[in-house]
Order: sequence, then structure tokens, then C-alpha cells
Amino acid sequence: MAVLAARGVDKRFGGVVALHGAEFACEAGEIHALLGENGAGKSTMVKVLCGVQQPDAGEITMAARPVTFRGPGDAASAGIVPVFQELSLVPDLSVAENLALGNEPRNRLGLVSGRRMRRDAAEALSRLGFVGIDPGSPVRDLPLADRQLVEIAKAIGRRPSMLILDEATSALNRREVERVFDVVRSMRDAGTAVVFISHRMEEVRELCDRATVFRDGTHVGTVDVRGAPKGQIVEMMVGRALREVFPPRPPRAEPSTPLLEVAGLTWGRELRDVSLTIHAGEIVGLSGLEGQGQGDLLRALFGIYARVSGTVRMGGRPVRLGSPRAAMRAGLALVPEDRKTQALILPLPVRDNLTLPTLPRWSRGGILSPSAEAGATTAVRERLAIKTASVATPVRQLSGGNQQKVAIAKWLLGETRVFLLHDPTRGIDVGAKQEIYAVMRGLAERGNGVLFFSTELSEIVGLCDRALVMYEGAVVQELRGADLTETNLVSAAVGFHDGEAGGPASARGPVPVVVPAEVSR
Amino acid sequence: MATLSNRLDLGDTWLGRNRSLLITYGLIVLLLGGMGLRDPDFVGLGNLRQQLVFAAFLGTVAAGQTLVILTGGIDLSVAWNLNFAAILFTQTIDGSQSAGRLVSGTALALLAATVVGCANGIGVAVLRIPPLVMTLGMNAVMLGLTLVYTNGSPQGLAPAFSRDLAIGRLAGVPWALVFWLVLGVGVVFLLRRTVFGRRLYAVGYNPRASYLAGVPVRATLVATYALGGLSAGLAAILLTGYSSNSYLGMGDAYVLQSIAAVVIGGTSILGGAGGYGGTIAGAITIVLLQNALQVIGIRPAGQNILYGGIILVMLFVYGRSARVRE
Repeated sequence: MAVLAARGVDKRFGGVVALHGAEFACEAGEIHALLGENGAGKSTMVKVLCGVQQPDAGEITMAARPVTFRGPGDAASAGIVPVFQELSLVPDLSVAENLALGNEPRNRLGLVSGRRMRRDAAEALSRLGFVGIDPGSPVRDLPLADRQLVEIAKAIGRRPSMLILDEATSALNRREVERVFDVVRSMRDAGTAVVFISHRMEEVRELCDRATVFRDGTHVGTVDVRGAPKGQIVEMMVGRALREVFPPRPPRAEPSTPLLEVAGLTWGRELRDVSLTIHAGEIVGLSGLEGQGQGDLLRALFGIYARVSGTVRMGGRPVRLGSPRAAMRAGLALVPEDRKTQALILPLPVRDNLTLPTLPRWSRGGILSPSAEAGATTAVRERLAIKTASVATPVRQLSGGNQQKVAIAKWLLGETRVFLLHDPTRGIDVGAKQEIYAVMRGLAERGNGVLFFSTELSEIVGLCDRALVMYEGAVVQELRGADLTETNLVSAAVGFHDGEAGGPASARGPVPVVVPAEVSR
Repeated sequence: MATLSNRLDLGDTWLGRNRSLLITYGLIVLLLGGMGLRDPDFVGLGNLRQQLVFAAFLGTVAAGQTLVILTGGIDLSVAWNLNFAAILFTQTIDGSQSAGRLVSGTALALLAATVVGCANGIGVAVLRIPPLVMTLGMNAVMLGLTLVYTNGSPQGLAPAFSRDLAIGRLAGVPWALVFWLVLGVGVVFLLRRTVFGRRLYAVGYNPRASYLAGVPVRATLVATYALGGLSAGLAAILLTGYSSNSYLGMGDAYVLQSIAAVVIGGTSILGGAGGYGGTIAGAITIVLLQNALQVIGIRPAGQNILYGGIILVMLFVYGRSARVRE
């Protein structure tokens, strides 16, 4: 019997139909994937299931009894606990305080006991196998991946009868994902219903028992994940068969001129003696476990950090990277990690976002020329096929994929030669990902260089001309041609690289998973 | 509540975007209508003309305040920045008609006010002092400087040109209104059609993303606060013209009133959203409200309580809608 089932759910936002007659049911002891492209209605369905949105029509039942959730609180007390992509932690509180929030342990004086709170947190984290997270450190200081792990730990700590993971693994690296999967599997085996939403198909394949696919606001069908032929689920999602996932790689050309040459780049303990060269026309992948310095490398090259040592040359000329402005003038562009808070100014029109880095070009004496600006934005909008009603539309209203195109396109209006891309396909749907791949290949074909960090191995293998694997702040291996495989990337990432025997003495080594007692009861 | 807001959800229509402007202009019409029924002189040409002149004074201070609040900051130093500039102005010129004294007095007053604004900007952008603290501290510094400079009793007379600007007329239209019109066009142009204006909104919405897009965030902030200072200096010249001299405390009322005009005009106190068009309506609203309260017979203490209350109500209304939209 289904732990939670929704039938005939309708939900409209103004004139937009988000759900129409949608159905979904998840049983105890199964991991059920909810799939669909962005805008297919799966997020709305999740919000209806956990009481964030109230359906306009339809019925929700728990163990065959109809229920009404007036808010997330109602759903939570019924045992339905979601973990969303947008993180719900309080940045200024510590990990322990966040985990205990609303249920703080007291000491004899009735005051919050910090010591017990930290001890409980340390216990909970190690039981889940989320090691290397200091319970005392403020959430603000944690890398995105650790924040997501804390978020998951917080949800599990509430002993859900149904756990909803909505893109909750999107910032995690392979090993952390494994860890979360182990925990989720033990919860399933103990009878918890788990709803899993991810854009990474391999993860769905690996983890889930059944999958319900949404398209255009309704369910297309529910399939047994292991029984389904390879292309079937994706076909259900997009409504058509996907053939070539990655754009064709051009045959390896003659060694062309180096665009970006980096030697001995060092920044504190985060970057150690990084040297690399990017040539015109190539896409170079940055791989490795998350948090091994890939993001820091991109940020250091874009001039965000102070006290970086080493030399950087662009087109043979040495450049001093003191600020993003200086990096921009030297021909570098960064598409940062977080599209919504770092790459774009959401309420501003597409046009304003596109021209922000290059405003002086579209003006004379500080006064903007609307015609010059319109010409430039129209051209770049067509070139990248950005889907928007108009360039005056606030960029907030665009889909994730089109927002990411705007974040890339704004650098096409300047004299950019080397693009630094930080996980540009995170959280966007399959179709949009392919468009971004094509955009990247297009950049390279026009003689630019691309340095591309992705947490998805298939992207590195499928898209890049060669890949650099980072480990603890250093580039430990370069893979190209036939050597550029997922297996090689993984073994290099965990430290089995050239001439080194054994694995790294990492603080995040594998730890046996122990299921929390309250979950396995 | 949910169904009500759904029904009133005008979304991205013109009405939806400019709802706060409409509320403010509606308030003006309501004030004029209500007071006009009670006292026809209130809506007479003479009174309205006078009230618009007062609105021009307030609107001048509020021009700088609008820019500063658009960056997500606030300028509490306008009171004594304005006062110090006014005293520099009258003491240097002292009613003289000599071109040299006029130019040097005007330049000195405007320069001093701009430098103070610049210092605010450096404190906020470079030293990262919160705007509230920085400008409040600057206000105290300027108060002290004024007392030292004047020995407690400001001297000097305003020159004829500033008196004409404040109380003179051009074919029946007060010069102050002509000045306000020019200033208004200038500020709107600055915000809508210049590189600086674009950067101002971008920095106000999201300084981090602006920095990553190569926007000179610090320079933009310093320039904004400098313009805030300059507008206090311009208001100083208008106000000395109106009263023919300068006196201690002449800027005091303008801190709260300028912030109120900006907020009532629909500019987000969080920065990034709004503009000077709303502030103009806000300034007129405040001045009419003050006038109405005087006519009804409410004393200054009561007037202050009402401004404060109105600002808080407006903050509640706009703060809520901003959060809902995010």
C-alpha cells in the first residue's frame, strides 16, 4: 500500500498550468524516482506532496486515508520530510546548531547545551558516514557539498516515514553520492519510502527501484527502473529519442597557439603549484573529487583571490590578475558556480544582464546608446538561441538552461578568449544541457579556449578534448584521447595516479555505514 | 489572505510593477480631495504653489537619498552635512554681489558637501562600515565641525541669487520648481540612460554578481554617496535662500523626511528597485501631509509620530512584497 499517493492533482499559477490530472504514488520500502525536464511539473508535485503548495484539485491519501496539508508543518508531522536543492540551513549557525534547530538539548539550568549539541551532531554525522564535517563550524564556511550533506543529515534526523530528495545530490561528488546512497538504501530496507529527484540519469539507474516520469504537467508513466531499456526513460521525458548526446569532437588539429599559460599557481593550501596550458580551439576538462581546488583554480584565474603566486600569461603576455575587472580585460571570463546569486542579477532584464560587463562599449561619454545595446544583445541572443519573450524580460523568468546561456552570452560581447566554466549544467534539464554542450563546442570552434569544471564524469569524457584531474589543490594527472575514460578519471580522482602506490591518506576515506538505530527500528 | 492576494496579483502588468507609485499618487489625490472639502484654501493656487516649493527642497535632498538607498545603503548624514554647507555658503558670501565671492562660496559649499559624501562612500565601500553606522557617525562629525566653525552662532546672509532660486518666480512659476524639474530630469536620465545608472541598480540588487561581472563596485558606491552629499549641498543653497541666512539645526527635519519620501515613493529599502519618479511623489505626499496636519492643528510632535508611523507601515508593506517576490 502506498505510503503517500496523489491522484488527479491540478495546480495552476496564474495562467500557467503546472499540473493537470497528475498522479504519483510511493510505497513503503522503495526508492521511487520522479523524473522529467524542468517545467514538467515534478517540482510542483513535490511541493504539493510536502504541503508547500495546495493543489487546486485532486486527492492526496496517506495509507489510503485522504489527508490535507495546509502547510509544510502538517506534512512534516505526518512524517514527510523533503530536502530541497535550495538549502534551508541557517548560514550563521553551526552545523550542530542547525541539526538541533527546534529541538535543542538543555542542560540542568534549562540553557541550551552546546556541548551535548555538538556531541549529538558528531555522532549523527559519523553514523551516516558524513565524515570530515566539523559540527562546530558555521554552515556559512562549509563548501556547498558539505552543506548539502548536513541538509540530508538534518532531514534524516527527523525520522521521516517518507524522505523526499529533490536534487539533493547535485553538488556532491561521486564518493559523497555513494555515501548518501548507502544511507538511503538502508532507510529503504528499514521500510522508509524515498522519493528521489535528480538530473543525473546514472544516479537514478543506480539507486532507484521504480520511476515515474512527468511531462507537460502530467505523469507519462511509471516504470521498473532495472527492467527498462536504456533509452526508454529519457525518451519518455523528452517525448522523442535522443541520439547524439555530445556534439562531435573535431579531429585533433595541429598544436595551435597557447592562449592561457599558467605556471606554478599557488594560493594558500588550496592551490598547490598548478601549471596548465589552454590552446585556442580546445575544451579542457577539470575533474576530480569535489573540493579539490577546481573551483578555487577558476576563481584564482579570474582574479578573485588576493595573494596568489605564480605566473599567468594570456597570448604570451604576462598578466596580473588583481581583480575580475583585470582578468576580464586580459580576455578571461568566469561563469560562476551559482547561477542565481553569482552569475546573474535575477530581477534585471536579460538585456541589462548581457551588457553589464561591457557597458562602456555601448555608450559614449557614459551615456548608453539604446540602439548599440539592442544590436549587440539581439545578435548574441540569436547566436546562442536564448529563448525569451524579449530582452526586456527579467532574467528570473527564463528557464534554467536559458539563464545559463545568458550567463555565458554576456562574455561574448567582450573580448573574451578563455572561458572558465564552473559546472554550467548543474540543475538544468537534459535538453538544455545538450544546448549548453553545443554552445561550448561552438566557443572552441571559434578559436576560444574553454576550461570546464564538471562534477559529471560523462560530461568530461564526452565533451572535453583532454582533462586535468585535481587532487588536494594540485593537478595530478592529464588524460587525453583513448585514456580519457570514466574509469581513469575516477582512479586518478581518488589518488591512484601516476607512479603513486596506494590511495591518499584522505580525511574522507571510506567509512562503514551504520544505520541510525531510530531509522532501522 | 492568500485568495485576496491572488485576486490582486497584477503580476508583470504595468499596474503590477508600478503599484507603489499608484498608491502614493492616490494618497496625494486623497489628501487634496479630503482637505479641499474641509478647507478650499488648501487646494488654492497660492497654497499648492507654496507646498510644491517645499516639496522641491525636500525632493532635492531626497534625490541623493534615492541614489544611496538604491545601492542598499542609507544616508543619515544629510542633516549636518547640509547645515555645514549652508553655513559655509552664507559666511563666505555674506550677501555680497561680487562674482568672486559668489563663485567661491557656492563652489566651497557644494565641494564640502560632496567631499563629506565621498568620505561616507569610502567608509562604506572600502572600509566596509555599515552605511547606517558610517553616515550616523559622519553626521556627528559634521555637527561637531559646524559648532567649532561657527562658535555656536552662524553668521552671514544668503546672496540674491539663492533667494531668487528659493522664493522667486519665472512667469508665475517658482524658480525652485524649475530647478526641481531640471534636477528630476537629470536624475532620471542618470538612472535610466547612463553606464553609472545601470551599475547602480546592478550593485544595489546583487553586489557580488556585479563584482563578478567586472563592475567597479567600490567606485560606483563612492560616486553614489558623493552625489548624495552633493544633493545635500544643493538643498543647503536653496534653504539658505528661503530663510536668507543659515542657522543651526536647519537640516534636522530632512533626514527622516528624505528617507520617508524615498520609501513612500516605492524604492526598496533593500536596494536595487525603484527610482526618482516615485520619490517626487513621495516628497509631495510628505509635504502635503505635513501641511494638512498643520491645518488640522496637530502639533510638530504629533507630526513626527505620524511620519515615523508611515515609514514603518510602508516598510512593512514593501518589505513583505519584496520577500514574496524572491
